[in-house]
Order: sequence, then structure tokens, then C-alpha cells
Amino acid sequence: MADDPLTYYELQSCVGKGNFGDVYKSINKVTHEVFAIKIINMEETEEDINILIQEINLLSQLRSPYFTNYVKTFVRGTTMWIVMEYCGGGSCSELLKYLGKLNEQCVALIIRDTLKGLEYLHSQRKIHRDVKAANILLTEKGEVKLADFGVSSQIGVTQVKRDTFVGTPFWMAPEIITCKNGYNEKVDIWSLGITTIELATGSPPLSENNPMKVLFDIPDLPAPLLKGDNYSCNIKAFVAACLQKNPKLRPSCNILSQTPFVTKIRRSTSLVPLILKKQEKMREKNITPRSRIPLEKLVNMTNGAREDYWQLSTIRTRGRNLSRSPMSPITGELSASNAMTEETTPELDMPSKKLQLGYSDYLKYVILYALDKVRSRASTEVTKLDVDTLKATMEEFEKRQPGISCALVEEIFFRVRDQRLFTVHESN
Amino acid sequence: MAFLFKRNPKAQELVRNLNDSLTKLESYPTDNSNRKKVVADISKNLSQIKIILQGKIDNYEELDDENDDRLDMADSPSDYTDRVGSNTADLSIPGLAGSNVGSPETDSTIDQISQLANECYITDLLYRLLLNIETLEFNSRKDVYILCTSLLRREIGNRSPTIDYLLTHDYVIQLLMKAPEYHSNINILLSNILRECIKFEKVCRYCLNSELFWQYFKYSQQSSFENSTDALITLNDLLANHHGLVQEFFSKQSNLDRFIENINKLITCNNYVTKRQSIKLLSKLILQRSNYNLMTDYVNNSSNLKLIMINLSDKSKNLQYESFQVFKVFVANPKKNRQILDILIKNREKLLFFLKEFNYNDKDTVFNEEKEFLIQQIEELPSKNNST
Repeated sequence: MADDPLTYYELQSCVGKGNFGDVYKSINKVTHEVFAIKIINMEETEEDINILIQEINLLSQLRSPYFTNYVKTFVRGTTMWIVMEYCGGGSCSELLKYLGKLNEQCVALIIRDTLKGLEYLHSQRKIHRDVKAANILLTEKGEVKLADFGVSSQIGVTQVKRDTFVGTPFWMAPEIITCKNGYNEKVDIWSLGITTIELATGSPPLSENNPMKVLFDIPDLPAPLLKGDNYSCNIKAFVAACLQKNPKLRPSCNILSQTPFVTKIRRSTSLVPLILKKQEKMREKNITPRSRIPLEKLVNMTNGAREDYWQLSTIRTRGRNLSRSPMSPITGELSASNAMTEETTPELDMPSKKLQLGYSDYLKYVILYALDKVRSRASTEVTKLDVDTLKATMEEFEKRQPGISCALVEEIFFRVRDQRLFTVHESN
Repeated sequence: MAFLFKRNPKAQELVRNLNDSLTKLESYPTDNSNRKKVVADISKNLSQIKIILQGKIDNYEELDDENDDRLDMADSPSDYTDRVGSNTADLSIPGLAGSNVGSPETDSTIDQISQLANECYITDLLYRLLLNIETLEFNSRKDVYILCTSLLRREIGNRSPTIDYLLTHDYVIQLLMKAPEYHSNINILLSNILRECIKFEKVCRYCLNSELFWQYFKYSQQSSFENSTDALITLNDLLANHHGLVQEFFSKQSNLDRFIENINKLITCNNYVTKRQSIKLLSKLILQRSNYNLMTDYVNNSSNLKLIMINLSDKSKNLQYESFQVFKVFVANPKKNRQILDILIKNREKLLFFLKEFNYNDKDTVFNEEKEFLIQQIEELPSKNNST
């Protein structure tokens, strides 16, 4: 059976919300390492589940220090828990949100490492398609990691509100929109240029406009430029190289990594002070994103089988005067209520003797005992498995609601006695 | 990339180097320092083989490249608007996607590749690489994938020499079929190769007739998410892609019985994903016209109906929907047996209530029409009081 993620990880707090699910900071119970767990409710995604799975497989085959790497996936109830590297420093768009624009040295550092992440991705012949500050994450040590590749890595998207529309038009290369001859990895270079402007000025070009309008404008307008005396020639040249409307003219990651903008970064440059400052501001404003599914609900999630919905078995109805005797899934015979009750009578006696049983004893000596008996009479493997599920469910509920077995046994006993459903045996 | 400027070694030489290295690996199982060097040699040779196979090296590093379309392409803007959809085009391992592998451009590379292929067949290189795959470096494992899939795509006339090789050296297929027994990292790689292989009907037939095939039902219940879900994808590919072959497979009663028993076990399991994937697979197979045998067998057994009804009433909308796709066949079957009728009659009111309340997607007209049809069919059943 599938592993339960809660055996290995403890969920702490919701650190972000994405299109597909929420992201939680969590701790590995054994190693005490911190991870990000993205929880996707598969009931809510309209995607074919196999596509999600193959996306995750794909993600598991990518490894780079400039990437939020994949660790493992679990299934719990109807949710999928994707464990990823944790970036405690938040995203670059958070930096912008709380600190305004960044200084050029910091921008260069972020862009340099993003380029390394992109270069790796492109060497694996993959296109990111959504490069922007919100998808560039930082660790607490100030390391830069590219995130949000594919479905499964909306990790760390800490914006509370996210444009569901198309992703993000402001960063989009013109050829994606016109799409005359398809597009290639150079769309990421364009987005990187826009991201550079975003980091240096606080927002991407055209961001004051309606995103829908921008979608039409980008192919028609001349490529944006970084202007003004506040910016160095190096950053201007870098942006101009990235933002060329003809994708063939845009340099590759490798070439861009050799431009002075990213090679001439002062050794002392660090993102850690920025991260600390941002965290302080966030604390002042007391910001914590709310998760879509409350934590308690995630922890107490069960599977949704309602096996008693239909009249498929005779256990519930035995002893009642039904016009016809239904098939028993347990014995595969027409229901023989006499035979069944005879066997169960000794156990039903137990509560009436007022045994000194603890709460958990009712589970062990009555419920599970009875279910074991039922299981041994099952004629098919399927039924046995179902009974096993029922046992596990009872155990789980006893853990969650200590005493529930005791109450259930008592109520069954009272019901059986009062209703005289088993008249023949009551008189014995 | 300095080695590009040296003499390019010939294919034969590379294969020989690899075989030598593998022999060394196998003969020094514990000597770690030596092994490290050997593993590095293997990586180097494999990456050179990749260059031969993919034609030019890393075209994305060239500024004015006319072959931009070699990288992953999304064909239309709508692909972009739907991020998930856009990635369906390249589901294989990154960097390895079939469509991306550049075609050799000159006669000399074609020569090189056929030499390479022949050497691989003769020396059993594919098998030896796959056997030692865990020892190889992360990136050279992907190169092994490229080697395998490139060779699979080779055709001479209407012959596929790699398929001939696989079928005469079936221990390679067997090794691939055991992929889910490896760690998930290795499994994904080997399973992807296997799925490339079973696109060829001959290999798929071999797999279906192998006892290892039945292991996939067990693999699908492994505790590792990656391996269990991946095993179900392989199972799906084995059973759903070659209709004629699967029809032949289900024409054997023993296969049919065993399949139903096993798929039911998967549907009963506790894992939501496995449940959903396996019901989907079942409905896909049952609704496939050529699998008539499977359909009639399945819908004539009342315990199957119970199982499907239990899932039809699951709290999960998606499980309900997938179960509906099977349930409808039970109801639509004009020759329902007594036991099936009994269950339907006994639950007549509840079914009618359930179906009338059951909304999955208003725009899904097929679903809604089928639902109406079922309601009509069930309404025509006698209610339980006057049935005898």
C-alpha cells in the first residue's frame, strides 16, 4: 500500500499558493531537513491524471543546483504530495513587493544564476516557458533557484493572487503570441530580459496595462529597452541582447553568461541582507498565506468509498423481512441469517457481561476480532481486501476518536437487544 | 567541448571502449577508485556516441541556427495557454524526447550510425549497459536512453534491426520488464525504454505472453508513487495500443479470467491514484469494440457489478465518473443475467436518485445522453416489490 507522507514529514505552515495547489513548509521527521511540499487535490484538477504523473516523472529526471529539485511524491486520500527542495528565502517577486526595485549588483547575481538554471534546462532540451521574478526562488543562504517548471513545480509561488489567465503575458515573447512558426527555447531568453527589467525597475514593461491588451501589443510594439542614467551600460546591453524580436538574434544562455553584466559582479554581493530585510517587513505586516484546504483536513483525509451506499450485502439487512434474500458477498450464498448470527453471538455477549475493557480493548477484542471472523469467511480476495480496509479504517478512527469502538459496540448491542432483531438468539 | 576539435573516434572504437570499461566494472566489483575512473570513461564514450546519434552538438548554442525547430516545439498558441497540455507533447525524459533527436545530416554520419548499431548488436552492448545502469552517472544514463531509442527508430527497408535483435536476445526485454523492481530513478528510465519498445507490435506480443506481464499488477501496487503509477502507464500501453494483439490476448479464457481478477484487485486497492487509473484502463478496454470477449465476461458477473457500484458511489467525483463508464455497460447489456438484474432491481430507486443527481460536466453531452439512457433503462426495470 501507498506510504503515508505524514509518517515522514510534518506539515508546518502554508508558504504559498499556486494554480494547482498549495505549498507547505514541512520537516522530515527523521533528518529534520526542511522541504517544500506541494499538495495538489486531484479531484479538482481537470487534467488527466496520467499527464500529471508523467510531468512528475519528467521533473524527477532534472537535477541542478540552480533548480528546485524534486524529492518524492506521495498520495494521501485524493491529494498528491510533491516533496521538493525548500527555498526559505521566498521568491524574487516577494523581494520586489516589499523592498521595491533591487540594486544592479543583486539583479546581476540573480540573473547570472537563473541563466545557469536555464542553461541546464536547455541542455536537457526543455523550455521553461514561464521565467519571471515570481518563479525565481531564494534559499535562506541567498542561493538562486529556478522553479515552476511544468505542472508540478508551482512551488514557492508566494503571490497570494495569481493570474490564472495564460500564466503571465507581460513576460511573454512576441513569437509565442503570433506563433507563426512555433517557438523554441529562445522564448526563455526574452522572458529573462523582461525579468531583468522587472528586477531593476520593480515591474515588467507594460504592467500598468490590462494583460489582455498587452497580449496584442507585444508583437506590434518595438522591443522594450532599459533607459535612463540610473542604469549601467552593461545591464542595458544585456537587456537589449535578450529583447530582440527576432528569436534567432537572441544569444543563447552560454553566450549571455559571458557578458560583462553577469561576469563583473562584486565578490561581496549577497542576497542574504535583502532576504532578512524582506522577512522583517513580512513579519511586521504579519503576512501568512491561507491554504485552500485547512491543515487539519489534510491530516485527517480518508478515502471516499461509501460501501454501504447500495444494497449489495446482507450484513446490514439480515434478520429483516425482505421480500427476497439477497446474495451475500461474503459467503457467495443466499443470505443465511441464522448461520451468521450464531457465529457472531459469542462476541456480542462480551459487552453485556460488562467486562472491564479499556477503550482500545473494544477495538481489539470486539471490532477487529469480529472483522477477522468476517474476513475468514470471505469467499473472494476482493472481499478480504475490503474487510482489511474496513479494519484499517476502524483502527484509524479509534486513533482519531478514542472511544469510538466502545461506543459503537455498545450501540450495536443496545440496538440488537432492543430491536430484538435476533429474537431466536436473544431468548437463549 | 574541447574534444570536438580532436579526431572524432570511430563508432566501432567507442563501442569497444564501452565494452572494455563494462568488463572492468564487472571484474572489479569493490575497487572504488578504479570504478570511478571507469565510470567516467563510460560517460565520455557515451556522450560521444550521443553526438554521432544526434548529428550536430547542442544546436541551442549556436546563434544563427536554421534548425531551431529541433528543440521542443509547441505547435500552436493554444498549447501555450494550457501549460499542462503543452507538455504532453514531450512526455519522455527531458533531453531525450524522440522528436528532438536531430537526424543525421551527412552520409558519413549515417555510415557511422549503422556501424554503431551493428557493433551494438554484435557485442550485446545495449544489454550490458542496461545491466550496469545503476552504476553509471546520472547524465550518462540518459545517454543510454538516447542510444536505445535512436537504435529502435532505425529501419532498413521495412525491417527494424533493433527489434530483430531484441526478439532474438529476449533477456534484454526481460530486463526492461523488471524495471519497476529498481529504484524510481532507474525505473523511469528503463520503463521509458520499454514503452518505446512496445510501440512495436512484435515486442508487445512478446511482453503480453510473458509471465512477467502479470507482475505489472503487483508493481502497480508498490508503495513508491513513482513506480506504481509508472507501472500502470506501462500496463496501459501494453493493453491499449495494439487492438488486434489485445483481442488475440483476450481470446484466451485463462488470460481473460486472470486479467479480470487482477484488475479488480487494483480497483479495490486503497490508493486513489491506482484506483482511478485502473478503472480508467478497464473502461477503455471494455469499450474497445475488438475486446468483445472481455466486455461480455466482465458485465455478466455480479461481483464485478458490485465492485463498480461501490466505486460509483465513492465520494470522489472522478472515481464516480470513471466507474460510470463501466457501469453503463452493465445496464446497457440487453442480456442481463438474473443476478445482475436482481442487484439493479434491488437498488432501482437509489440508482435513479443517484443518476438524476449525478452531474459531472454539463458540457459533456455524450455523458449526459448516456446518463439519460441509463435512467430510462433503469426506470423500465420492475420495482422490487412486484418483481419475482
